[in-house]
Amino acid sequence: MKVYFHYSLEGFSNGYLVGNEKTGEAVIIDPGTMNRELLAHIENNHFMIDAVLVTHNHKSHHRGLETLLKIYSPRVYAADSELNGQKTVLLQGDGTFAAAGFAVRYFAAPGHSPDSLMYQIENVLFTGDALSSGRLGETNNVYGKRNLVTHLKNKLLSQNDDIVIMPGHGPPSTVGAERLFNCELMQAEVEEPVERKENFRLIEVERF
Amino acid sequence: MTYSGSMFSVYQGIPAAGLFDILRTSEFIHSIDFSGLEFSDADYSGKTFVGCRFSRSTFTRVRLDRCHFRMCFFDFARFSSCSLTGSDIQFSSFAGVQINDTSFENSDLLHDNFNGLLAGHTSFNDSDLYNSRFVMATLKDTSFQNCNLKKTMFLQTNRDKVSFKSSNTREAIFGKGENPE
Repeated sequence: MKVYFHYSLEGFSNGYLVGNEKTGEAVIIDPGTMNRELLAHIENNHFMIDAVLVTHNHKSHHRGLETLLKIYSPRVYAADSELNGQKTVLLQGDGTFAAAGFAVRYFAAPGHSPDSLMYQIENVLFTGDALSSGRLGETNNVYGKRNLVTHLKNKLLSQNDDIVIMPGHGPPSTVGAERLFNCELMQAEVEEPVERKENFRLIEVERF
Repeated sequence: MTYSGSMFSVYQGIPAAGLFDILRTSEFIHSIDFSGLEFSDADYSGKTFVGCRFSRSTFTRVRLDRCHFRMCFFDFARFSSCSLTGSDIQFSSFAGVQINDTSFENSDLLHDNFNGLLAGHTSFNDSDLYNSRFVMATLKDTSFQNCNLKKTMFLQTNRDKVSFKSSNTREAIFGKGENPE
């Protein structure tokens, strides 16, 4: 397996080209941009792009898809049935599928966005925006954060310390490092949401 | 920017003596797992490492000046009295590393993970630390003078006698109440 890191200045996001030297195929994870540099890497290595794996439906992670699909004809995997008007192979929950000769594991990790996925190929986990080194993905509310932490504890921290993490933003990491130095994951004692029922009643009273 | 790296799975299982031979004789080293090895009183300056792993290795009085590292993992390694001056280290991880009396001066340290770093008497002066992270790092007698700190993250760091003189700290990311000076 050969991994190429591709940094997009539009959105400061990380994309990855993962090549299988045995089959000559490759997958692209989060094509934030599709430029000459990435194209040169694909062509110079004679990779056939078998699939595009999108971690979540934010522009900075799939802006390059349109250009990519003009050149290649890969299957596009995501937790949304459509991206930029392009039909995808819809992934839900956790599971495994085959792409570029790899067994690709996927894990739902909602919280940063409802459609967030993490992909694992061999000993590398591509976390998208669910987690970056030392930090959790941004969430809009306490429920989202709690949901994200639960998924990360069950699906990321349950893995071997040596598993490499390639995030959607920032530098790479390992599961062992995140276990010890992810300040937000350690502070996972998320405050209980304010008693919602009572709040709703108050709003209703005010309204009527 | 695009970098390549086979993920240190290709040459696993080489005996330590063979690994030292590769390190001594090769200028371009890729996909090798050097985890747990002890390096001392050696000069590996000018070499290029891609997709290599040095987890829990120890480096004592080792010169790695002008070396290139891409997608290399030094997690929980120890550096003592080493020199990485003028090095080019990108998209690599130094998480949980202990560094003492070591110089990273005049280096490109882009997209690097220094989370949980324990650094003492260490200099990053005149370096580019764009998009690198120092979350939960403990820094003592460490200097970041005349550095590019754009998007460099210092969250929950313990700092004692740390200098950011002539560096663009306004473009860095500090935690609430964690004043850079």
